[in-house]
Amino acid sequence: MSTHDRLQDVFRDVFNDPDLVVTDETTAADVEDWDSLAHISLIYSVESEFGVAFTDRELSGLAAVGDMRRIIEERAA
Amino acid sequence: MSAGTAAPEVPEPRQLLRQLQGAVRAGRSADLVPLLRTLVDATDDLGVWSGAARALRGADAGAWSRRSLRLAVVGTSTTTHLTQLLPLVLARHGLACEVHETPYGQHVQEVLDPGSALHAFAPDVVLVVVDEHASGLPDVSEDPAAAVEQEVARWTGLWGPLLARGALVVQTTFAPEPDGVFGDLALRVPGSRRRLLRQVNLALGDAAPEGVLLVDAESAAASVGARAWHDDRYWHLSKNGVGLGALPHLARRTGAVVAAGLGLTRKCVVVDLDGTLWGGVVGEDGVEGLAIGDGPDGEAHVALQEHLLALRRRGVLLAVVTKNNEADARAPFERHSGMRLRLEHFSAFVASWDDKPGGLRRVAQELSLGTDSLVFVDDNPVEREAVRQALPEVEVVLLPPEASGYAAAVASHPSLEPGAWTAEDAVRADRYAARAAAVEASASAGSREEFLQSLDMEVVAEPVDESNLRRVVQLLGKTNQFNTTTRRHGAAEVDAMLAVPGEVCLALRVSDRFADHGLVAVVLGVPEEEPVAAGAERSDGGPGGTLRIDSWLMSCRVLGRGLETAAMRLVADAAVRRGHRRLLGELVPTDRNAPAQDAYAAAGFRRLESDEAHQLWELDLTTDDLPSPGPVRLTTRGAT
Repeated sequence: MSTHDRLQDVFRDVFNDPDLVVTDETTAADVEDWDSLAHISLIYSVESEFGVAFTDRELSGLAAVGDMRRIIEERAA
Repeated sequence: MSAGTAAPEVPEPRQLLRQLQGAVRAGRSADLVPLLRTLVDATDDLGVWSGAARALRGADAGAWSRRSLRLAVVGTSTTTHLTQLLPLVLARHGLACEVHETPYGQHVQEVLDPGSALHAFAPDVVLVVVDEHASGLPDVSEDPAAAVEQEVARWTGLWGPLLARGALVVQTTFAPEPDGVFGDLALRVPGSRRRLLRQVNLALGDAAPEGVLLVDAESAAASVGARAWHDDRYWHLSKNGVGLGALPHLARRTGAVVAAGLGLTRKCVVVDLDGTLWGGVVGEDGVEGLAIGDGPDGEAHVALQEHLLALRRRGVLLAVVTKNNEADARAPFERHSGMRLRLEHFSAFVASWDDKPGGLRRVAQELSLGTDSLVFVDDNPVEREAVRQALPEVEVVLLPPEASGYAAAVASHPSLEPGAWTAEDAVRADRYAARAAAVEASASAGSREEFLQSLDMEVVAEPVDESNLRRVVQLLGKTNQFNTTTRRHGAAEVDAMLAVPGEVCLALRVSDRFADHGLVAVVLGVPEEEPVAAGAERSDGGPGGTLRIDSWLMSCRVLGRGLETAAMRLVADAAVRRGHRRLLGELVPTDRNAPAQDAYAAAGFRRLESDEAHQLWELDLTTDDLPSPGPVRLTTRGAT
């Protein structure tokens, strides 16, 4: 499964929406329940799923799904 | 059971979430609580928990819950993530909740201001979540005693206004950081912060009155791991005082404490024998071939036995359900020197070739308990599944594959968290043993009347007051079967009734020649001033006219002895002494209080024209025959 698909699964779990579709450009503005509360849960779940830890600096810059995907793929490379 | 399915007993967390989401979408309400038990007890995956919490919001709470409550969360740091998990852990206990969260950092104002949103919410339960960032303690104090006292007062000062509202207060304690400026020398430095925090925790325990329960954060942090608990990333990111990875564990513990505080602690642990209490199969291996002590396998079974014995000392009943011949099942208890548990430790012992659900029903019947008071411990996943399917209300412990994990699995089971520990609890198991003896006497005592006569029963009525309030509230919280209205009054509500002139609030103690059963029945009667229903004539009007019986409940351990009419006779006598002319009994039938539904009729009351769902029963104290005490001595103590 691609990084994007795995990320999408995490989003589907956290937002309890099995049909949710996200792209690299998706941000909090596009998903109704993506508030600051859900953002923290997302970060936690993404870190758990991929076994990565975002750096303190990265944490403050994660806005779009693509931001997460790029960092995860950089780490894996 | 679902034969042939290869599905594991505990699916992968994501799979569990899919099952839960599917059950919610399909409206399969009966599946929700069993699924949630597995999810909450067997996973610590925050993502799955969050998804499950969201899914649960889409379910019809009225269809799956047995009770609902209003829960407020008051915290010193960000509690939002914990708060969203709480409906999940409470649902695991069958509780639906409406949640209110006070804004971060406003805990003091919200509690102390009677006009605050918190008070307007009228919570049944208030969870106070503190973390060590919020403690006012220095790295090192020159006056440790004063520092501890001052810190404790900050928190106990919040309890009063909440208790006065009748809320149950649940507060987390402090988890000291694993590292500090003094390192491990901290234990030798009297004023070190780590020592102070530990002392504050103990002092909170000492200070907690009736109605306040604590969640031991230090134990929780140790259990989940200090690094996960003290996760500074989330403190800096979002001011979460407890790391996100530790939240499922904290939520699970908190849910267990809340459920226990509401009187939902399970009463009886039912254990299997072969493979559970000992290693091996007694019918095949013989007593000598069993693993009991002597080696790691046998030691693990002994550890389980010792934990069960400790639970029994705490007041939990033990019972056996085994597929065995009676003689085989008893032999290890009688002949193996390594056994810690003995036959007399069990309040019921069912050895048969019937299925396990049938055995559990027999245990419940013999002990006069509902099957929803039982916890089932069996090493065989097939038997566990059979019980889950046939008796979903029974709590089933998920034993791990290896016996070395059995004792810990039982010890950490959320359904056995105690909400109180009183002298009554300590001797309960002995009372039930006596009760079992009484049941056996019943078989040999000829007629029922002769049997009851032979029991030499006495009922003592005493006023509800400070000395017994704790036990009274405990009974109000947990009695389901003989409970006329199932109103879960707290201490504050009972106090309010006691303040009404002319009240008749009685606590009844029962003893017989086998045992002193202690305080096992409560009647709360309050004067009624208004006409109560169409066709219900106001006897004489005003105080002293009618005594309305708000609640009448009796512990199931004394049912079936004709004590109901004796109890009502004591109420009638007390009501006459107070100048009342009429008793008005309220009856709210539920699917669980069948034993109470005939009680007013049996005591000679007449049904007034009233709703089926809220019945009113009348006894005229001036013209009707008063209820007969039957073969029971009645005694009154104090100003009843």
